[in-house]
This record gives sequence, structure tokens and C-alpha cells, in this order.
Amino acid sequence: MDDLIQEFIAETRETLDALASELVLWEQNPRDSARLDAIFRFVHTVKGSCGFLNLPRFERLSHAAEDVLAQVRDGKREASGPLVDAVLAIIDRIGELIVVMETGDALPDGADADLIAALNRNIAPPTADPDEEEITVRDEPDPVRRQNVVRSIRVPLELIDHLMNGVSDMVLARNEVARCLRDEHSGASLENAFERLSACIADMRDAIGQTRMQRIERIFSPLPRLVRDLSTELGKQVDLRTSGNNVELDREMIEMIRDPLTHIIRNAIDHGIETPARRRVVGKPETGRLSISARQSGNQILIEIADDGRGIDIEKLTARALAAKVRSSSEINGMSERARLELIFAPGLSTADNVTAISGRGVGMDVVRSNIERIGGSIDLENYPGRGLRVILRVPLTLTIIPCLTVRAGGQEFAMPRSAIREILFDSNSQVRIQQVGGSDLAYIRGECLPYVALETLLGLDMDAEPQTRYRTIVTVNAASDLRYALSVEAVIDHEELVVRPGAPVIMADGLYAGTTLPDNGRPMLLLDPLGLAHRARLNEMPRPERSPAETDEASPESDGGSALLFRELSGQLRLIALAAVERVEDADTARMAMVAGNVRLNIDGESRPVIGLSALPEEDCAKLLHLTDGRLQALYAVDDVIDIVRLPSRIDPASQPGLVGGIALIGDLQLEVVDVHWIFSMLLGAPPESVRPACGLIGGDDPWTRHILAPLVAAAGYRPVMVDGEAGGLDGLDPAITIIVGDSAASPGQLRGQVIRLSDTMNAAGADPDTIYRYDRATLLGRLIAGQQRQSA
Amino acid sequence: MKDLYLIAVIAGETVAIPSERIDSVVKVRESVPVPSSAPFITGLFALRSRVLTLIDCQYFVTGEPADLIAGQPAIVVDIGGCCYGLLVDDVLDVLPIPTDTLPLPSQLPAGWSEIGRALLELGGETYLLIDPDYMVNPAMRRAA
Repeated sequence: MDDLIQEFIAETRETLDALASELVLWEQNPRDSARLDAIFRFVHTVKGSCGFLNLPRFERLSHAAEDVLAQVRDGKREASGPLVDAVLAIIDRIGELIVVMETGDALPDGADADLIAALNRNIAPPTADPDEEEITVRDEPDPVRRQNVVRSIRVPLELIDHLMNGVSDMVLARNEVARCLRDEHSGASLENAFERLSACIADMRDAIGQTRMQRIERIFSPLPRLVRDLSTELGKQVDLRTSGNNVELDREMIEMIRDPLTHIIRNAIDHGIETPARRRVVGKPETGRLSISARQSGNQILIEIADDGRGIDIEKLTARALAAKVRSSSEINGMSERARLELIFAPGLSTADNVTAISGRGVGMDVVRSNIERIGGSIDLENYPGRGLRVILRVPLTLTIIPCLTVRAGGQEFAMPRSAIREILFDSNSQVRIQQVGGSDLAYIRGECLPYVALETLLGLDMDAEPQTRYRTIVTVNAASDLRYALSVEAVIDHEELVVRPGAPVIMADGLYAGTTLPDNGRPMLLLDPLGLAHRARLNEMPRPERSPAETDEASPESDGGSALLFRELSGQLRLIALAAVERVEDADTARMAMVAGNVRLNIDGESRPVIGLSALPEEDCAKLLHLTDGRLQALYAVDDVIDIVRLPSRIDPASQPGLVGGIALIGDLQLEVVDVHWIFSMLLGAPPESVRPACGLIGGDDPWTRHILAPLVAAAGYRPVMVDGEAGGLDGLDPAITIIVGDSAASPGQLRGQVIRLSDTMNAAGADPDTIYRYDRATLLGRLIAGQQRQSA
Repeated sequence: MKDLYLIAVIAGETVAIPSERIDSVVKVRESVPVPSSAPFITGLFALRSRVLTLIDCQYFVTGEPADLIAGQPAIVVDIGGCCYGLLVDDVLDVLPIPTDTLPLPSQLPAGWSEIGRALLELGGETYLLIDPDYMVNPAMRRAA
């Protein structure tokens, strides 16, 4: 019986969430019988289950609502505003009771008679009410979802977490076995079996990770109701549009963005969108528009909340900031437009004229921002005074797997979220100058001044007396959008994707750590919280460093070709390479390199990778290598030294011939060669390997002509030639993209997929139909093969 | 099995911990320190794929942090959905103690009276009953 009740609670909750938007749509168009049916079905189901489970209170409520809805359905009553309100009230009450039941409390005694009476009060035909609010809320329909109901079962979250833990255990065990296998030099068959096992485990980890994902719909579906209630209360008209409902996010993330999102929407309706009368005066349509969209961009989710209201009045905002003594007038005068706009995030500020029940109490945007930043996200504003405001939330896809930088300090290793890290440099770099000012250190990096702290000092660790590297590494950190500092660490070790879990409350209470993680080596590691470190260093009490104009993108419109790394080749020449392609710089031990098959290769974590730019093993102990990546593949590029990061101009003159140098860029007075990363990867990998090329079936005599003359031609066109025995007719599961039948006499097997070409022995037979080609009509044959190849890749 | 207790040694004295609170007893090979954390935290250690916080029980009694000896036993407890290892000198036995608990004598020194909850008696031996919640929850520490 308990199980049944649990099931009933869960099901009712889910339907309630889904129903919230239906209700509003129905109110908007009471004649929409599909919506009415959906609501009727819900009430009916609740009624049925309650009778069965002996829940008289639910039954009374749902019964009353059902009666009224039935009357509306039969056309005996009209769905007037009060009636809709009454039905909504009943559904709300059901929701409240469900929450009570869920906590395991006994249902409170209470009369629902008032609600039921409200339903029947308006039996008389409703008169047109001129003051009645009119709101339109539209949800972009998602027909695919409604049609394909995915078969699913309900699984407790603990079980999923347990599975996740189990899989993590498996991954660790696999890594240990991998280490053992490497040491033992076991046979190929064992290694193959292990590879298979590894692949299975990796698949499984992905699948389990997927189970934690939920559609953002979960927070979007209650929004129409929220918007309706708010706009009714405030006497405004709002047209809500949502899109991107099917974007998926980790379920913890969903919970974390729910409140900030609600707050932003409240602000938009309360402060942004004007009253209908006001909107008429300024020449806008009476109904304000609020659009909320979500989309995925890389490993981030972007949520945009845009309204067409009055935007933020910066004059008023700065006046308030002065009045509230958040900033002094000299500070405000020195601020850029952007910095003034960001005053909206200052604690204790609001542009609302009146404190309403909905917003304007001065707690708000600062809390929103800190909540979003706490989960590694950011918030941006685009203000169009008089025309609207666009708020852009960026949040990471998942809380649990975070790309991290691992660093060493005081003999211990720590992880830092990569999203907060802007740049990594050595303190020996000529662009870096560290100076002591008033007892604290400041780092000047290319003219920019940042507070400079050592991680050891912050954590109360001793500096390693015998560090493994000569130089310390400086990591510049964006702790928050207005808080940056330079953090000095002993060394940066690696980039890794780490599974991060929250630590014990006693550890998290400090604010220095954002969680714990267990890397492959089995030693627990702490994830540092960049904002917490800044607080520990008392950096948040410093005035916000103004961005120098040279740094903003607007100031240098001609340099918008992205950043590039300026480096010196081993030959001494200066060259540029796109910074986005450089994952990191490593001083690699020469002992890890070997001259193999004419190439210098480097052994990295048991993998052998080619090193570009070296024709022989270097004579020094150590070589500086750029780790290049295209997101999936890695390559290494040997350089003499890394010099600087520069902005590339938008114009790069292309090189005359494709090769290592893709073009010439003018930086200052220097003409510098820009390395073509695409060319490097294409050279390394060559054409796609045999197995991924489309197959081309060759049917006909297995004669030397087919084998030695035709097959190489087919291979050169990018196919994998496969001899097919025409007599047996079996393609053996082969799925050729194109099939060539050699000779006029060879039989054509039926049921061929893809294109079929017949090569004729004589010129006369060719041209009879477009698929017959003379065997030496090389141009036509190649043309057909290449056309087929393009179709494949399209 | 409500009356089952794990008998362990903290700072040289035998104590009892209710067994229903205990997940397992493990040997800790090494731990990673947590810089600038509370002094009673020895560090973090890995138990299969989980990261557990190692609590130095001795610190509460003596005020001296203990050095972890490789292979030293830790009692794994789950408190508030988070797992901790309570580092003890030794784990001796699991005993059923059906008798009622006795109130703490008032002359116990501060350290012991804070972690102790009651006394237990079995066959002429008296054990101090330890409260694991107290040792992992800093909020409760302040309240106490």
C-alpha cells in the first residue's frame, strides 16, 4: 500500500509540473478542447486513484473540479476567469497536499469547502469583465516529445549514485590493471581483451553519466504559470516564449539554476516590462515580450532571458549607488559604462521605485550572481535602455566532471577548475614583473596589474625547499567577472577531466575548497575554489580593477583574428600559432624521445606521439614542446622558446602554397609566418584509414586487370576496394557505397545498395545507358567515384 | 542488533561505538593533508573510488595531532550522507552489551567529556560510549 501511495505521489507531481503550462494555455483559449481534455484527464486520474487509495480529501477536491470541467466540456458553462482561477486553486491545493504527503506527515484536517464553493459560485453566465487581465503565454510546442513517449521506469536516485560509484571503482581498478599490464609486458591477446574491457567500461561510464542528465524543461515548464501569476498581480501583459526545452543538464545543475532563473524573470516582469498604458505611450505593443532560451555551446549551457521592457536606467542606478553609499561619486565618474551597468550586481542596490512583494528589496542580483558563480558559471547583461534587457547565464554542463588544471604547491597536488584560468606563464618570462607595494605583491603582466599571491601562503604550506623546477609558474585566475589575480604555484602538472564530489562539510566550510576528486593515481586531491582563495587573500576588499581600454575588444577593432602564440623555432625564426590549438607547453625530457621510423617520437603516458620540427634527437636534456590539439587529437611541436601571446590581425595573407606556413601576419612592424595547424594535423594523419573509407565492391572476374589496374584507381579515389565473387553473389554483410561490375558478361547480383557502374569492354556498348562506362574512360570513371565520395561525406 | 558495540582504542583507552553507526573498519595506508583545515582533520584518504575525510580522534582527547602510521585502522561512519574515517589506535572487538548506559561521571577531563556520551559496563569492564556525530560536525562543536 505504501508503494502505491509513493507511486501516486510521484505520478501526480509529475503531471502537475507538466500541467502548469497547459492550464495557462487553456485559460487563454477556453475553447481549446485538447487542453481542456488534458486537464480533465488529470483531475479524473487523481479522483480515480484517491478513491482506490482511500484519500477522501483528494477525492472531494478532484470530484468538484471534474464536475465543473465536465460542464465546460459539455458547453453548459463557459471557462471564465473566475472559473479558471477556481480550478487553478483546486489544483494548487492538490499540489500542496501532495507535498505534505511526501514528507510522510498525516494530512491536515481542513475544509476545502471554500474552494469548492468558489467553483460553483459563478453558475450564472459570466458577464464580460472589462478590467479582466488578459495575458498571453505561449510555449513553443514540442511535438516530438508528445508523440514519442519514451518507455521508462522510475529508479531511486540513490541507486543511480550507487551505480556511478560502482563505475568509478571499475575505472580505478581498470587503471590499476593497465599499470600492471604495462609493467609485465604481457602478450597481445591479453592486451586486446583488456582493450575491449576498457572500452566497455568507458561506455558504461558515459551511459551512467547520461542517467543523471535531465531536460531543462523541468525548470521551464512551471514558468508559464509563474509569469501568468506575476503579470496578473502587477497588471501587466506578458507574452512568454521558451525554446531549447530539450537541452540537457546534470540534475544537480538544474536545481542550482532554478532560483536564479526565477529571480531574473521576476525582475524582468516587475521592473523591466512596463504597464500596458505606459507601453502604449512609448509606442510599444501593449503585450510585453519575455523570451527564455537555452542552448548548449561546447561544455557550457547558455540561458538567455530577454525582455522588451525599459531596460536598466543607468543614471538612476548610479544615483542609487551614490545614495546607498555603495560607491563614491569619484569612483562612479571614473567608471566605464559597462562597470556602471554592473552596479546592478552590487549588494543592496535596486532600481525599483517601490518595494513590492515580488522584487525590489535590494537582495537579488548580487545573490543571483554569487549563486551562478558558485557553480562555475557567469552572468552577462546586454542593456538596451528603453528597449529591453538581455541576461545571459552561462553554466557548465555538469557539476561532477570538471576540466581541471592540476598544480603543485608545497609538495602537494591540487586541482583548479580550468574555466577560471586565463593564462599560464613562468615567472622568468620577460613580460612578467613582480613588485612589492605597501606590503603586498603585485604582478605586472604585459602592462596589466594584478594582485599576486603564492598558493603556499594562502594555504599555510611551507615552500618546497628543493623544487623540481627552476621557475615558479604564474596562473592568472578569473575568480569572478570583476576579480582577477595572479596565483603563483610551484608547477603546473597537467590538464585533466576530473570527477569532482563535494567534500565533507568540515572541509568545505573554509570556502577554500570546492570539492574532492580522485585522479587515476589513487591519491585524493582537493579542488581549489578560485573565489574562496581570493577571499582568503582578502582580494575582494580591493576596489574593482578597471579594465584598461587596451584590453577591451572594442578598443582594437583591427585585431580580431583571435590570440596567437609567438614562438621561436629551433632554427631561430619567429613564428605564430593559433593559441586555441595550443593545449600547453611542456619541457620534455630527451630521454622520453626516440628516433623511430625516421621520426622523432615522444612517449607520453604510454602513448607514442610524433614530434614535429625535430629531425634528430636534441642534444640538450630537455626540449620545449607545444602540445597541439584539435579537440580530439594531439600533436607535439618542438620550439626553441615561447615568447608572448599576441592578438592576430583579422587579415592574414595566405601563403602561396599549402604547407607548414599557412599565411603571413603583420604584428607591429614584423612580418611573421603563421603556422597552419590544419595542415599539421592533416599531414600527421594522412587520408582516413582503410576501415573508415567507404567500400567499393568490384564484381567480375578476379583477374589481374581488376586487381592490379582497377583496384589502385579505386583506392586513389578514396575507396576501399573489395573483391566480390559475382557467382556466389554474396556481399557478406558488406555495404558498398558504390559497386563496379567489370565486363559486359558478368552477372549483376540483385539487391545492390548504392550506385552500380558497369565497365564495358568496348567503346560502343558504353554510353548506351549512363551507368555503363568504357573501361578506359578514366575521366568519367574517376568523376563518378569522386562524386560518390562527396555524396558519402555530405 | 541494537546492543552491539565496537570496542576500539583512542589515546590508549578503550571506548565503545554503537555498531549500527559503523559502515566498516578499514586500514589506512596513506592520507593527503588538507591545508589550513581544522586541526582534528588528519586528511583525505581513498576507499575504492570514494574520498573519505580522516578524523583524528586522539586530537579531541590530547590536543595533539596524531601521525598516521601506515596500516592504522579507521572506523568508517556515514554521517549526513558523507563518509568519514575515524582514526583510532586499534580496534579490539565487537561486543553485545545489553545493560543500560550509566551517566558520565562529572570529573572527566574536558576532552573525554566532550566526545563521551555515557558509560557502558560489561563483565566488570567499563567503556566510554563515544558519539561519532560530535567528531565530524563543526557546527555541533560550536554549540557544545
